[in-house]
Amino acid sequence: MNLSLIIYTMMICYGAFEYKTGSPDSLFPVQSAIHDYTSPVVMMTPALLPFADGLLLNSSAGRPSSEKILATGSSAIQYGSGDYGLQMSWNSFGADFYREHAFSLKAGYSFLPFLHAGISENFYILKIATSELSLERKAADTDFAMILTPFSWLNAAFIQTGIMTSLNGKNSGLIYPERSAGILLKPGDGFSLTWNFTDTAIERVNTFTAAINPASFFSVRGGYCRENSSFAASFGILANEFFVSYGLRYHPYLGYTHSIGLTFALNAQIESLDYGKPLFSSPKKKINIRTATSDDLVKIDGLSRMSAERIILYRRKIGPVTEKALLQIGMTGEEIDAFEDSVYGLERAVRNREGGKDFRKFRKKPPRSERIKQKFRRLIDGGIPAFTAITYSELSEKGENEEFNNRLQNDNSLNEEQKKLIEKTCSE
Amino acid sequence: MHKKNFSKIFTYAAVLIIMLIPEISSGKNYEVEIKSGVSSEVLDYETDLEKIIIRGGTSVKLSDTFNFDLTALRNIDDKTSSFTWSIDVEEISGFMNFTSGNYNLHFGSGLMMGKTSYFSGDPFTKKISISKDRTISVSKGGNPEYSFYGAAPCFYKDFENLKLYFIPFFSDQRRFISYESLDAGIIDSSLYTLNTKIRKSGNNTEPVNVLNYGIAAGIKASEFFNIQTYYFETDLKGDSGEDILWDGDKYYAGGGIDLIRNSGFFAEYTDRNISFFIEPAMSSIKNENTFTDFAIAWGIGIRNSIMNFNMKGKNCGTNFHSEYSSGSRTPERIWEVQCGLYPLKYLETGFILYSEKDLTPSYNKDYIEGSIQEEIFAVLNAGYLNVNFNVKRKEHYSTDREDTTDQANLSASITPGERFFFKLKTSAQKSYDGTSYISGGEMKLLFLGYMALSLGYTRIIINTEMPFYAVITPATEHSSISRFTDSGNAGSMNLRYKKDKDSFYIRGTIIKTDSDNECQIESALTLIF
Repeated sequence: MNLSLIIYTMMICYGAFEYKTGSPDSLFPVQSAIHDYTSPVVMMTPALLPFADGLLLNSSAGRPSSEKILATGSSAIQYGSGDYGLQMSWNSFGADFYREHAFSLKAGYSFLPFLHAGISENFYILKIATSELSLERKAADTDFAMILTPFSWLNAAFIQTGIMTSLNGKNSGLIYPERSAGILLKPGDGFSLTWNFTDTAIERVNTFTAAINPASFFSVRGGYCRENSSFAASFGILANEFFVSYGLRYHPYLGYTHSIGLTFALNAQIESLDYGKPLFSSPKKKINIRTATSDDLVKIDGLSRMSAERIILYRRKIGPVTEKALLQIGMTGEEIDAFEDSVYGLERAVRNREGGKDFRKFRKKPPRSERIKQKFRRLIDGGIPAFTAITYSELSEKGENEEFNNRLQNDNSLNEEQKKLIEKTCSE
Repeated sequence: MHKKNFSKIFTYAAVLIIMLIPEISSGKNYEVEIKSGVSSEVLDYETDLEKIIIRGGTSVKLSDTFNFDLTALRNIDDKTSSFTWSIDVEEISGFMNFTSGNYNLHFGSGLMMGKTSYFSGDPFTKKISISKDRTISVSKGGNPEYSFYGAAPCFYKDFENLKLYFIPFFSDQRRFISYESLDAGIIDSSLYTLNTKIRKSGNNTEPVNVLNYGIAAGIKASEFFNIQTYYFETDLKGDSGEDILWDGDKYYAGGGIDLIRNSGFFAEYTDRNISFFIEPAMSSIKNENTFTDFAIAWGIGIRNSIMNFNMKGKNCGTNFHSEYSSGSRTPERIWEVQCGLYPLKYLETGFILYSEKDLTPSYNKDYIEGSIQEEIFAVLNAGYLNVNFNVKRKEHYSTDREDTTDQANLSASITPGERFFFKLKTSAQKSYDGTSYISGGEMKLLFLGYMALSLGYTRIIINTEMPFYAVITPATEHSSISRFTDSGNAGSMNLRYKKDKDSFYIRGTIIKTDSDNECQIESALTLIF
């Protein structure tokens, strides 16, 4: 029994690297020098405490690797003023017969606008309690952390845990000192990328994290630990002063770890992504210009009902809509810009590449629709209004010469020069 | 195809012609498309072998609402023929669409039902099933192996900002098995393998029917929300209606599968900045016992002017089975994280992380496999200059880490004017026994406004046992990726004509490697009347 217990304890101790405590926001169970702090989270390193905003209370719990026998739990109280910050926390990991407790007191201070540092005093208690064996060991140690913020978009950090153990080796069987260095890149509001390199008791690991706050009430994180191929994700929802978070970590061999957290923060807020436009507005779906109705087209910002109807008329009477056609029907430059961003299926604007004159003379007589199109274009080029151009182009191709002539003669909207142009163009 | 199927086709056709007589007689617009061509394609997705095929077909389109397609295919290598046909009628009386013939279905994210995809042996192929597609799409390729055969009407009702729909469907795929299997009432192979037995061949002389039937219903609301739920069953029966079991030698099937029941629910929100979806699904395999298990696919995407971030995942129970998934049919866990940054207006850079792990051993293996892929990419798009660069690593593992493959790809294209296009590309792939390289160049000339001529040269240097999957530039129309196991040279010429809706394409390729000389000709012609 003792042997099996020792083996199991060793397994857990080894696993403590994987199963270490942590709130959903921490993603990976290794010490990180830096993490995103734009949502109400418990700071994992004392140097970040000056960035805490007011009073915060947090409790979280997890089930490592979906193992029923194991559980983690943590609680923390934290306060930050902008210049300094304090935190008191308790972390617990283990099973009924084996449990690790860690009590921490952390303090951080901003020495310069770009230099922040902090220390953490930690008390560890290890308890093994079975019917045959009862053991309790206690130890204490200190962590030191430092963060440089030379730019708002770049943070660099370092942390050394277990300083006393590193120096005197007194509790080396119980405490495994770790050191970590990391960089946080913040390209914009509500978004950051983090890379931490951590020297753990077992191996050196790289963790990569992306933290995104899609809305002022919603936060998402995703991460990857290269050395053990594990992925992690968490999301949190802010409702007034309460921030509820859920974390999921996946390890290819150990399986899933679930965790939940509840945070109360007096000044709770999430720095949201900047979209330039209001969130949750309608997605911009492009409209097929070849099949769109005038009702579809008037939904495009900046396009008038009259222009929409002209486009439909052009398509029906002349053919595929081109950029040039948009000008011909009287659309303004602004309307065309808005239009082109909102539709697809526009024919290419440049059309005269199809062989040139030498090629054309061998071509057969074009079909009626093509002849109408050609006449229309020539009339438009001659300054004839689009609707009039369409009307006469069509009439001339119907073969109804009498109606064509009568209508042209009595058309008061045209001057004599325009009438001559129409007559000449349409008689060809 | 079997006589019984011909009679079905004529019945369907007769019913539809009667439905369409008013449309035709009204003299509305119609369009007839004639298509033909020769190409080299993978028809049987399990073999990874390309076959030379001749394809020909016609499509008829009436009034933008009626489409008929008939495509035939001749496999020159195997001397076999097949065809697909489909009729697709939209907006019948304002409440119904109707699809018949060869068609594919896609429910939700494709977790349980999606179009079957061909996964090449390229180590960087991802089996992730999560994709978007039309719920019903007709099959026009001439190869009926991986498409349903039957009918799928869609009843819908449009309200302002709301659309409700209901799709019952039925499919009867006729396949052939051996007399011994029919007599025993069980086949060892999977339905995926049986899919390829579309004609009598060798011992496979007895017809059987792969039956799929079910319903899907959904709501699309205010452009943002899409909700769908579905249920369908899969069964295999002989011509006389007798039950036939399949997957007889698979450990998960418990002595053969009699019936599979599948169901799922899909919910999605999408706007221009945020999207997320979740799809829980359940499969129930019925044989002597019933094995029921669950799976879930999920994803979230966020974008703004400086970044985009996507995360997807899939998790299954070990007894989950998805015969018609667009990805893997067997249980697996998948994670994918993609993140892109736009530090400049014309530059995107970022990374992709992808992990897949089988939850059960593959066929004929007694260990579980998985892989991790990491990729860093950069895309420069500065008008006339386009540069793509990526570095990828894949670690395939089973009992321990093994088979690491690294790949780097760089391509640059320059478009100095509207008529010229130059492209240079180079790739290197490093595996445990060395490094292989593929480099190529392509020049494209546009002339007369509707002709394009492309000339390309590719140099292949293979120093490893691992094949190199790469594209011979200019790329082909059908299968864009080729498998190289020997060093060599390849030259390719591509001539394309496209004017209005008519198009013609011809491609000639000569591949000269250390062990073989190969000449490939591909062409395709599409005429619209």
